[in-house]
Amino acid sequence: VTRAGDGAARAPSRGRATRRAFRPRRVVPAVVVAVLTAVAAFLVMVEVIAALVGRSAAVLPVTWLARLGRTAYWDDPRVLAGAAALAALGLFLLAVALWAGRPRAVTVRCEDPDVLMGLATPSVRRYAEDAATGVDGIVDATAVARRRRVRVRATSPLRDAEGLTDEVRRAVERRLDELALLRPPRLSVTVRSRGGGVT
Amino acid sequence: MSRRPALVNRLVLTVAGLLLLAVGAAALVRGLGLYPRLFGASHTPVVDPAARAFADRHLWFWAALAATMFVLAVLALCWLAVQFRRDAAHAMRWGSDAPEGATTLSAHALTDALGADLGDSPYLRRSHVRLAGAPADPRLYLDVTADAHADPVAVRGGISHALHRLHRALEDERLPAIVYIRTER
Repeated sequence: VTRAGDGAARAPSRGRATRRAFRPRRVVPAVVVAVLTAVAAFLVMVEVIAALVGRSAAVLPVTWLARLGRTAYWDDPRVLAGAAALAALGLFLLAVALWAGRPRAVTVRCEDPDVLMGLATPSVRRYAEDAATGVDGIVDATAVARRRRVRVRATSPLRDAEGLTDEVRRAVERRLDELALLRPPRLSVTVRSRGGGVT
Repeated sequence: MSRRPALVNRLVLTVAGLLLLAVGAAALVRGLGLYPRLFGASHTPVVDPAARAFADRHLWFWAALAATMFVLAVLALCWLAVQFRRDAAHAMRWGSDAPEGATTLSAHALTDALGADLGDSPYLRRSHVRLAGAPADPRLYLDVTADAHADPVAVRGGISHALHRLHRALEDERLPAIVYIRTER
């Protein structure tokens, strides 16, 4: 059973599904926060249990902390700085949690409705660079690839490189077409001539 | 990758962030004396003498604190474990739901066959195939590395062909696949 039409009709949701599948999972912040929390909670637990049985585990500077709690006032600059740091850390974690992050792949068109295909964003970049350097008169090209936009900067030794812009654009467009991206990105091309080269 | 850790991470990080923000902001408000009526006077010790006396008199306070810390540490370790658990399936159910006809297909047989097929394509350098999900609701994860300058149409063709053959071998049993393609540097 071919369901190509169905697949095309569901294009927007497929794009979303692929983006979700290739979205970063925030593993690094999760590991950092989990380890710090586990260690801190464990140390406090050990210290409290030690105090309960009448001795000191000496894993935390308890006497120093107790004195600090007695002598530090809420309007002490150090306490205020600590409170501000805590709030800032909270804001940072919120930002990490709420910012979705860039997917590591862009959606590729695929007829099979059961298959989600993504092409790594760096690969899109390399394909664009490849296509640009393939043009006669272009010696070097760097590209930046995002989900919706690809920017190519090519360098030519020719003094009058203006005419090459269209040619580079066509070459990169052709290559992007071959990639069959679900949402073809907008393309911007600039060609710089490296002064003092061959004319 | 399964999306479950992503959801859990987002949720826990949000809660942790809100908690830290609330505590820090409350301490700031108190220290700056913005709402002394609500938050108490600013020029008072951080640890209230009355609270100290209360903690000193009640042993259960410390026991409860230790228990809370224990629970917190265990929860944090569980959260940590989620990050490293791979959502791998050993088998998928194959064929009808009839009780006598429930066949299971080993994940190895499936991923090996697909891996061998992908390996036949001259444009593909490496591929990693993984079966995930419940046996009744399996998913296939494909991680394919192509040649640096490989023709993208041929790369897609190779993958589609391999998946198509697998589908035919499975007699059109549904098996959603998530394919990640990258090119070599």
